[in-house]
Amino acid sequence: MKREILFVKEIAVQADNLYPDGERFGAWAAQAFAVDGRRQIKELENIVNSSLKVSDVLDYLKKQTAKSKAGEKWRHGPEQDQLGPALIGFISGDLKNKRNTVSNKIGADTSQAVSEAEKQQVYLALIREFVRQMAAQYELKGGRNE
Amino acid sequence: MNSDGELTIRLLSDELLYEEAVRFASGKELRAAQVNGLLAFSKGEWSELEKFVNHQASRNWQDLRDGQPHPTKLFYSELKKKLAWLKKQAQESRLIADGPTKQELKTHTDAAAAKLAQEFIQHLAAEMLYRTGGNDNAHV
Repeated sequence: MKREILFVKEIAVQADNLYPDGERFGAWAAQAFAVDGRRQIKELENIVNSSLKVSDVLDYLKKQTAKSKAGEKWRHGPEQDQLGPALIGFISGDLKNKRNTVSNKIGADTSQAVSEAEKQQVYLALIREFVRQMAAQYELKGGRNE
Repeated sequence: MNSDGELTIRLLSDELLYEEAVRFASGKELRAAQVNGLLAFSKGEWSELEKFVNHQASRNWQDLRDGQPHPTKLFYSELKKKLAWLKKQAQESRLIADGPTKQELKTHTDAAAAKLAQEFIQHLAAEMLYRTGGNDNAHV
């Protein structure tokens, strides 16, 4: 099987496991954004789909969180558990681990180490898939009523 | 810079500069207006950025706090060292094609260092604003 196809397959396997987290963050976003939520989520999707670096996505979330008032939008939730920081933590932690899982599997299956550039592409693909699921859940959980 | 150079910058930005910026921001303080000023200089030429940071680091900042150097002065003094580190990264990361003259080599080195500094400062600004909630005069 071609290397590119192996990547697509492994990313799809990991993406399937993202459903509960997509649901959780989508529902959280629907609660957090009383107004302007659809625009916020659409903007996040646009950033994620156009970024060539993971750090661009993280920087964007940090700036949006900094702009939000305490308890609202990206800072919705108690001080120690707010939407923006939780999402940043999820991308930097859980999704990075999934990137490593995909990379290690492909490396072992093909006996050829996965390059840093390939790892970056896997990471971005997982973030895009996750945000796509989160956006769908946002609509399902109330965003559509906006 | 060719497409290989652009890819190298993207990889360094994600794998090295982002983490460095997060570490650098820890325990530091800078007014939001200063963060925005720094961001603006980071988008220009290396020599202008270097001049700006050196000037800020050598300025006689008033308002000593408990006899300690002013936090803005400390910030820029540390950033000055970081710029030297970024220039070293630019030289070591194969971003620079060998120029036929010493002057061309310097031009290429400065251009590559400026690209790395732009990435680093972008991450640093996002982290500083994130930690302070965008508030002016907030400790990080």
